[in-house]
Amino acid sequence: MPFAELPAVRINYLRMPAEDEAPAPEDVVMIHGLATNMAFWYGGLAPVLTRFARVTIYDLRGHGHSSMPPTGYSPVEMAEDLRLLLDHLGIDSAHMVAHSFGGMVAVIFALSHPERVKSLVLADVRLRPVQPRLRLRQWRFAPRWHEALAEAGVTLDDDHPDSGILLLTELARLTVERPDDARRLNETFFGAEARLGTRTARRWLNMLETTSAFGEITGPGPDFHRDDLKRLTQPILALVGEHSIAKTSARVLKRECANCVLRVIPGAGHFFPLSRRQLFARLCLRFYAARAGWRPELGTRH
Amino acid sequence: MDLAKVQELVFEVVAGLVADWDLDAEIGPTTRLVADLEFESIDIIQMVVAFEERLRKRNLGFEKLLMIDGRYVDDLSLGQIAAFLHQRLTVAA
Repeated sequence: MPFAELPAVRINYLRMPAEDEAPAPEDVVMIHGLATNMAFWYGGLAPVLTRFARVTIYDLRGHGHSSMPPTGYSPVEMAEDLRLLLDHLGIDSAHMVAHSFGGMVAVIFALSHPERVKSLVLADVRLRPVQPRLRLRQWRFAPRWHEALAEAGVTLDDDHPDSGILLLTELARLTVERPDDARRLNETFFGAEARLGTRTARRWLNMLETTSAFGEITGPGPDFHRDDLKRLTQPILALVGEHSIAKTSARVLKRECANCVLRVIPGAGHFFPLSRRQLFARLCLRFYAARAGWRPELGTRH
Repeated sequence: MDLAKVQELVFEVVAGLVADWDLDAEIGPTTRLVADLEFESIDIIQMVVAFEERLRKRNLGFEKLLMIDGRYVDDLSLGQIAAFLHQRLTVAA
């Protein structure tokens, strides 16, 4: 797969051509969350969008097949990686689709380079300046998690302001050391489709152990202020799972951004782009048709 | 391209991908990507891109093989992949 050799990092990317490249198709760039990689999109929304657009997926630094420099993991620095990648690929502007932490990267990029972002789909994104602390203890499913983690012999500090990342890390450790227990836990809480692969889990642990990623991802911030969100005038689709802890961020986006549509995915958690692929794709296509000045042929081939 | 040649190509591409993974598995038609070769989803992307490069064809439609009812299939054998590729190449010819 191709790499973009940027000054501080080598970024692995894949450009998926539109089925019909003439006239020049719209560009869509997709940004994954933590502890995953470009494959997050490959089996879901990306191939659907190639019916109408040219899609670029890539691995954030330290993830997938991108390189793992010792520093540079703040969302601001990853937004700069995105700018350099777009420059490398000759993409002047694009529709952005992002999940989870990838949404922080997309929002910071859109605030810094508004002219390069035609629209934003933000799937279950926790905006740190809006939700600086994410304590799983406050989540309604915390008692169930506790029980299941205790059964697997895992102790989690669910009062830590970034306990979501701690949970991800514990699941990664379990995936490496006791894959059957990890699979059971993952499937119980996130669904079979969101499970971590062993090598992906190892890479996540390696990144936390050998780089400054944890400190840079979790702080010190704020990377922007809540009021800055008013400057996002592009069409925005904020999607959030009914059971997600990121609902506060989605509501703030809706309140602060004049052109934002909020949709709650019934019965879904954090990983609905995987667990509810078809619904996710349908909502995105409707958004593009109705709000983003782009009219994919709904219903003809999807 | 006949099925035997496609199969040969599949074995070659997959063997190249797993060359430094320190696996004991044999490469053959019954070898499974996940159970035998410990493939993860990003490896599948690499494999598909490698096929596209080798065959000089894009959009081989692998999602039709990888996804059933909107979900990833649990596993695939190299024989299944070769048969799918052969069928796609025959249709496209």
